[in-house]
Amino acid sequence: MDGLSSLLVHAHDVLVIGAGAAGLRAALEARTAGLDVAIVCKTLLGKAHTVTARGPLDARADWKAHFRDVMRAGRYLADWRMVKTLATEAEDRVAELERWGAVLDPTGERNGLEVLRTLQQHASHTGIHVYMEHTITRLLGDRNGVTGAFGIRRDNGGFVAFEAKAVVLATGGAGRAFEISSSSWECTGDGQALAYRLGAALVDPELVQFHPLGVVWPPSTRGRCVAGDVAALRNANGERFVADAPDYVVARAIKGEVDAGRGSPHGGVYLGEMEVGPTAHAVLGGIRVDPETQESRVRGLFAAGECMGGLHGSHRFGENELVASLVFGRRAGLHAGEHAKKKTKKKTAEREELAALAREALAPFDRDEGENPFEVREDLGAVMQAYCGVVRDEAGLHACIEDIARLREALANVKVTGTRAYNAGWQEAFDLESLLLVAEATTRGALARRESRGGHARAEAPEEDPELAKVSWIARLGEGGRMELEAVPLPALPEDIQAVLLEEELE
Amino acid sequence: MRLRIWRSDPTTDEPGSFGEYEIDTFPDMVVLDAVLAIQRSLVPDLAVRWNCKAGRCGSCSAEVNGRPVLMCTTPLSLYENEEALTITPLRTFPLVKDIVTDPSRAYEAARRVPPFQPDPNGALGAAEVERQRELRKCIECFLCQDVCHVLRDQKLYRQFVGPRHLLHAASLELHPLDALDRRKPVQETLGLGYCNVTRCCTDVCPEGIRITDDAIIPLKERLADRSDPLRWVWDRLSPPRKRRALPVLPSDDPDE
Ligand SMILES: Cc1cc2nc3c(=O)[nH]c(=O)nc-3n(C[C@H](O)[C@H](O)[C@H](O)COP(=O)(O)OP(=O)(O)OC[C@H]3O[C@@H](n4cnc5c(N)ncnc54)[C@H](O)[C@@H]3O)c2cc1C
Ligand code: SF4
Ligand code: SF4
Ligand code: FES
Repeated sequence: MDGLSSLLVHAHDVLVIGAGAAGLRAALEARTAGLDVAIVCKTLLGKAHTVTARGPLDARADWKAHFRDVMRAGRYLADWRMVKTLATEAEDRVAELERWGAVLDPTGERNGLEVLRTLQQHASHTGIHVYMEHTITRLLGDRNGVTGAFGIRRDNGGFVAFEAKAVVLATGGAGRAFEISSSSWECTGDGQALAYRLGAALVDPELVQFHPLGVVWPPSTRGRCVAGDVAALRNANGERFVADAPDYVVARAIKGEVDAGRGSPHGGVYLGEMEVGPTAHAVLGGIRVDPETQESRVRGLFAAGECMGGLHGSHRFGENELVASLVFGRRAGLHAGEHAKKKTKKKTAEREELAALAREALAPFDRDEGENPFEVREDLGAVMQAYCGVVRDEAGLHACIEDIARLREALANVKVTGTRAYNAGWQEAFDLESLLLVAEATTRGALARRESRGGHARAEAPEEDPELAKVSWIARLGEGGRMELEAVPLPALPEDIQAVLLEEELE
Repeated sequence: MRLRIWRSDPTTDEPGSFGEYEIDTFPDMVVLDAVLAIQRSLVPDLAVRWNCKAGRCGSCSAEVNGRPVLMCTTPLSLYENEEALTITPLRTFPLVKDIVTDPSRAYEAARRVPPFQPDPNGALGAAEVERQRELRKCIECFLCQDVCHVLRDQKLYRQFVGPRHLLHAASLELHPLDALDRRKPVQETLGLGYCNVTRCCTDVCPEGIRITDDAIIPLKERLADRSDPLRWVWDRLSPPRKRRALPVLPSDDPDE
């Protein structure tokens, strides 16, 4: 069986991969422009990770204050052009959401749900096609242009191909690379991996946000973020050890206590009865896009939402991601739509290429012996937790790269049993492929950034290095399939923007 | 602990049957932990739908010992005194595999609810915000759809959209910023009349939404208003009609 017996081919003008806030907003924009739009998502519509977000949405009349806050929080590693876009467009996006019926909560208990549901309900009457529980495993095309995507539908395990004139990646984060993470299972960095494989670049993949108050014990809720007073944290001796400070300062303080042997039995500290510690919360680096159009370096391939890099720098405030997903989702949809309009014809997917992808995807079923994909992912989680967490050091990062190579071999030998229908082990194998790629980029970026800046910390270089504030690292597919890392200068701040940053200091 | 999980793969000719598994537990273990532990070590192709594992996305609905619940918020300790835990798929939706069902029908029903239509003259007061919050808390777990006898037993899927979508219709109909009058479609395409207010839906809602009292009954009251011709003419003539017709909910604080 070549596996293609069950292939379905769908053709649309714009294909949006991901149905969180960013993907839905992108799809709406392209649809409003009159295009034939489809959304694919790994889970059901309305269940994307966005649904768990709390927090208020930062949108202010005074864009300058917003701009300053984001630039400072990220310790100036953000691309100022994107930050300016966020700060100037946030208010419009929020107002628009309210015109669509959203009842937002200024204190933010349920804003993720409210944003997602409003977009979902708005979209469901616009004629956008939705393919739920479909996992995209490859983009079609080459580094000069994307022509569609290939994947698997979960219900019966059949293959699908999408032909499209433009593709928007809105696949969310990659928190599942870490053992302790607040992410849902779908956050496996697929967008980053898909884009990278086609030739797009990942910018500053080392930047990961750790929330200091993640549950480490009891086990069932491990990883989940909890609200709590940081100053009330206690170590094993019952002592308080940190005052209210930015998240990463608290996270490092907790790690300091644990490393000094003053941690709780399960490697955290105490918040009341609970044991808490840093949990991987969001990835801040991601697919590198043009700050005007959201297009990656691959023609016709756009990105928005958490899978996109460049916006936050090395730390972000919780109020920004939801609203950023709206701002950049809309822009990605707009430009993807324009791109699609300019193209006259969709390229038909090559049957032979699809057959090869299908054979590759089915390989784990053919093995008599092999690794358990769930165990391989747990292994990866432990490795990243140990070496790529809140404080990183050179030796650990080298060990991490070796371990990732070992796990990649394990993945090549992974075994899946049962039928193709709704097969969790098979799904895990696809997720792992993306996770390993993002993990490697994170580790290599962390090795390159030999300084401590915002959420990124290197043990041997505890201070910020002013020279490194001027560069981003980009990871991309090099010769022979190796990952190449390149330093690129961050755009210089024009005088008027420097003035905005200085304004408040004068006040 | 012993678990019995329904196993059935419609892509094969094998008939469905229960799989029986024995697992080690830990103190705060929830049903989903147990199922995922079985999947990880014993049955890697076991189909189970979940996502947030925090009671927020409404993915992990199943019937545990006959009661529809979210597996990720249901502690195993609830079943301490029972012989075994039996997990079966929701009954009101077609089966995909094992304990996973196909909720497409619910997504189709959602499209039958006329969408929000902004009213530039509307205003949202504090009490109305509170009411909206309650009606909009729904995580679309579809447990209410699963228990409603009109769907579960009578299978009137085409005539009746079910409690989740009546709730949705109510949240729009009672939204002060919405201009559309949905009374006709609520009756004709959504099938409000089929609900005989048994409150079974409210009983299972993990969000504690008072679906029957705060959504369905107010909708029914509005329809009753309409069937009174004098009241109807008066409504037409006196803007802002929508807000005036709002029934007062117990949660409304008149002083706000
Ligand atoms: C506990 C928690 C609290 C948070 N609180 C806040 C907050 O207060 N404020 C804030 O602004 N942000 C918050 N965030 C962050 C915010 O939720 C996310 O960054 C944001 O929702 C990401 O949106 P997104 O649209 O990029 O992706 P997501 O919502 O993650 O959606 C990704 C989509 O892509 C799909 N997908 C992924 N891979 C594939 C594939 N291979 N094929 C097909 N589909 C795929 C998924 O199914 C999903 O539909 C929080 C996050 C967490 C975990
Ligand atoms: S109250 Fe109505 S909608 Fe709810 S379960 Fe009973 S009949 Fe169904
Ligand atoms: S109303 Fe309650 S039970 Fe019904 S789908 Fe929504 S959250 Fe679930
Ligand atoms: S997994 Fe999201 S509600 Fe259970």
